[in-house]
Amino acid sequence: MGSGINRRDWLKLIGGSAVGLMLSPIPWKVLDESAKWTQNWNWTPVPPKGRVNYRLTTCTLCPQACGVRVRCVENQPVGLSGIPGHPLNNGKLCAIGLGGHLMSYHPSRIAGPVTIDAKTRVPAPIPLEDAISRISGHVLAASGVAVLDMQPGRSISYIYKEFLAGLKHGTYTFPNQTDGINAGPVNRTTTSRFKSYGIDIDRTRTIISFRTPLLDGWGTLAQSAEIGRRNKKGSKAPTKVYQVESVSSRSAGLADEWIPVRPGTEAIFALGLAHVILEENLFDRTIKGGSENLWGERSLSELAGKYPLSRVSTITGVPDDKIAVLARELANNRPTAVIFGGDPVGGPFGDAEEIIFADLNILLGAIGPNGTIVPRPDLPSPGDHRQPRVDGIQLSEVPDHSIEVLLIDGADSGTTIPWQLVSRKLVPVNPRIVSLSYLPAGVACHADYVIPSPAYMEMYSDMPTPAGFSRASYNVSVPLMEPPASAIEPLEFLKRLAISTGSPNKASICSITMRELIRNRIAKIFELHEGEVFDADAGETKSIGSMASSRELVRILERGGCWTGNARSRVAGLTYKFLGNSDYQHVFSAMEKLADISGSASDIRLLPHGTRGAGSSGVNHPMMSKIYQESNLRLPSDVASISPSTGKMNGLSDGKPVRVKTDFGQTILKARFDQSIMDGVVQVQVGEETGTTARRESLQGSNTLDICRIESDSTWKTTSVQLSPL
Amino acid sequence: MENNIGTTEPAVENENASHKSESSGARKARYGMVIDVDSCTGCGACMVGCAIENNVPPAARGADERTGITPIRVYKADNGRPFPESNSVYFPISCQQCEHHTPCVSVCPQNAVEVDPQTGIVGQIPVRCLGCRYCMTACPYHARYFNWWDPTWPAGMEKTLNPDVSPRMRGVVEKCNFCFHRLQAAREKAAAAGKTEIDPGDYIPACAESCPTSAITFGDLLDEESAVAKLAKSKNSFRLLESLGTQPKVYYHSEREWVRKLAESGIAEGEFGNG
Repeated sequence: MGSGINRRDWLKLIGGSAVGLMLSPIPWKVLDESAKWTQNWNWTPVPPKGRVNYRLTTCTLCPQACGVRVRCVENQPVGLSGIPGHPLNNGKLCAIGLGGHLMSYHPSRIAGPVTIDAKTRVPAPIPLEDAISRISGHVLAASGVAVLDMQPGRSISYIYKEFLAGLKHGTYTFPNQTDGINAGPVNRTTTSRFKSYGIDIDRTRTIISFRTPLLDGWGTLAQSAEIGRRNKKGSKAPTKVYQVESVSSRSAGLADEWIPVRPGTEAIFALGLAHVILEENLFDRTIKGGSENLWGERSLSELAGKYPLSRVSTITGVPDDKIAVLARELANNRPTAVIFGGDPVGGPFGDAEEIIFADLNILLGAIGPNGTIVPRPDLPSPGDHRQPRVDGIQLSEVPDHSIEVLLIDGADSGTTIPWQLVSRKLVPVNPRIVSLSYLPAGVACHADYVIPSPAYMEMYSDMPTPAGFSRASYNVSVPLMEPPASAIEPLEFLKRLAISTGSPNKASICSITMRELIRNRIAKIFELHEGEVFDADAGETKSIGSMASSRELVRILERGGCWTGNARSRVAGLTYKFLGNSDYQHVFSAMEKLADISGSASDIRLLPHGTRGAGSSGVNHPMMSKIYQESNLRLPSDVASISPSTGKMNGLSDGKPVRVKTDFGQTILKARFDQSIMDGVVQVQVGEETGTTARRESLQGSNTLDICRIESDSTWKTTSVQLSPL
Repeated sequence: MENNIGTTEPAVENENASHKSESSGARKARYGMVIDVDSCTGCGACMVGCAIENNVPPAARGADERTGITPIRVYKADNGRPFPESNSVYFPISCQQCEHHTPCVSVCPQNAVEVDPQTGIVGQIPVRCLGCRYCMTACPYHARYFNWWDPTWPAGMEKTLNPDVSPRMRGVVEKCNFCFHRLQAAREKAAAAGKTEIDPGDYIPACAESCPTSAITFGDLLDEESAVAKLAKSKNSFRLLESLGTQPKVYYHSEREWVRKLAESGIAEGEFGNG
């Protein structure tokens, strides 16, 4: 028997050692320690340290003007939440607003003034003085200078008007204000002459919404609607919402009933409702005495007579008995409000269609009384003592090819308009476009000069009444962070431009700061002696009458407070002009055109679909990548959703590229088959591109709205498209 | 507890609602939430609010729905019907805080997942995590996320991090913990005031706080007077994949029958997450 170690012994030793080691804590400890060692790198960010405190302000990322409670570490905001009880957002913020404090650090933030080459679109830095010198040269040489104010009604808006009054051909313009209700058609069909209207949503029992994103979840009216709904929890008469549109939007899904109509036939559907209301004498009795064009020739009744239910049913695809039942429901469950269209993409209805919706409102007694479309008083201006100002006009009313130099303010504020609507107002050769914005957002993507402004939370500014709100309101946003040295406030830019151009109003413009301007306006509001103010600090509401001086109002508003005017009492004594001041033939033929277009079975229609506020037009904060990139919650703008049958009929495959071509251009998107989409409809989101926090037009120079048909009434239309695989 | 598999009884019904913690004298709680999916607009505020509150970094380049980190993720589901009968619903899904046979706890080789006996909250301890992702495989709700990348924010944005939460490192798993740091803050506040119990209003996770439609009701399921306990026991409340018997403490509520039916088998049949 030998004493040597044989192969088997070695194997036993190795096996025994391995088992023993496994039973000892050594490998587990090493594994544990090494795991920690490999994971704790010194580049893992360390949160800020310091005293935690809270401040209150107002969100300026979109027109809703939500009250915001800001959690700060020393002076650094680290978290946002809504202010409970705030009249405009009642303690809630949207996904965009929750990350508002991140915007200052956005990777796309414009670091300094840039000039952008018109052909290559390559930006090049330019010293501020040089930029102002060049811009003032363009202004002095131009025969048409305009300011496009994407957020009209702010105090700075009045200074723009003052500056423009000092020029020979100055124009102050703003996008059409549509947010469920547009003042234009109301004023054309009634003797009411208010500049703006809101929806008394808390007291409305029935809402019929034609494509208005009422329950979308982001932006203005949605929150108002939710506040109204919450108020009514347990109520015996809750608000019932009917959503009329071709796509299965969020609002369609959340409404009490979604009524899918063929694309572009919403107004025909409204005519069908009018037909039933007139035929069954269901209309509001107060209109009988004073109205024109309701009966007889060239009247609404004649027009509605051309659209009996059977025809409306054929055109819209909605069963005729359903139309009749809904018409009765609207008439019997009043107050009712008919709302239509709306931000963010200002469409898709033309003036003839809006007249029909306004007529439907009149028939239902839905203009003036409580719980309907109600006029809203304007806010006072910052001061009457200041220099003369130009009047403002809607962008659609600006003559084509009349603007040589265009200043755009608030392009990052959440109002989306197709670039074609702006470009048609510019001179064909060498227009100069200047954008005052801190991000390359919306129409700012087309600028020749970008002057970086301070971001949200870096600047003193004010927020006028959000569209759709039934009472006047006023909020102030205060700076909580230092802006970068390269940022220049729009007012400071305007002062330097006024000096540089030798404006006759330069003394007045240069004599005031933004803070003084806003405080002047607050004093004016105080002098109204009406309304109430929500004190965010105290969480209570006080009447203006109980305040000793405007200083108290200033203090409250500068700390996240909100002033709201009195609710307008019922407007009585209105008389009506059905079909408005429009040529009746125009309305008749516009409806016939809609009826004809919708008749073709092979026609495929492009329906851009936007979300509200900054979600459509703004560059979003990077945390929105959770929604757009790390989930499918919101579709990005490079996806075309179509029904499987429409896709297959056009030779497309799910997930593969598709060429979407119209008479106005083409774009390449990714096809997405969705059986909830109506056949013959291509639904495309307006907003972010896949995998980025940038908008499509900032990457490609255009978005889907740019290949839609645009009409002279300043809105895009549903457009015929051709689809083909790549 | 074993006999509760497959039933719809609330997760904590068998618990003694009034028993006290042996160590602190504070009442034992079982925190949970009820999400009214009929009110959810799919706005994503909960996803963003959660990410900001918990120092979850923005999506890395290349991250997608499989590799991204969304401790609460809203899925769209539909009734499977073609236009015009189609109807959809949004399901916010976070860690379901399983009360029974918590799958992730069972499989973790590092003891990096623990159920807090005091609150019932399933916690994740990143420094213990080995990154094996066994828990992700075990989780029937796909509510766990792996850090595939180093946590990075755009330049300067790290100044906005929440001081109450440490960023997690690459290579570990993370998930919703009902904003446990907020519970700690509420406890400190209560302690400073000489109380042993927190004010329920002081402890609300970021998702519930940020929901614009107040679709998320949060609270102690053992407190029978609380809104969350009443809602959890109401007729149309349900839990996801109840047949697994994990007894989640996240409930859902819908008046729509097809939605409730969907929840019984939806995840297993891949009906969630269809955008």
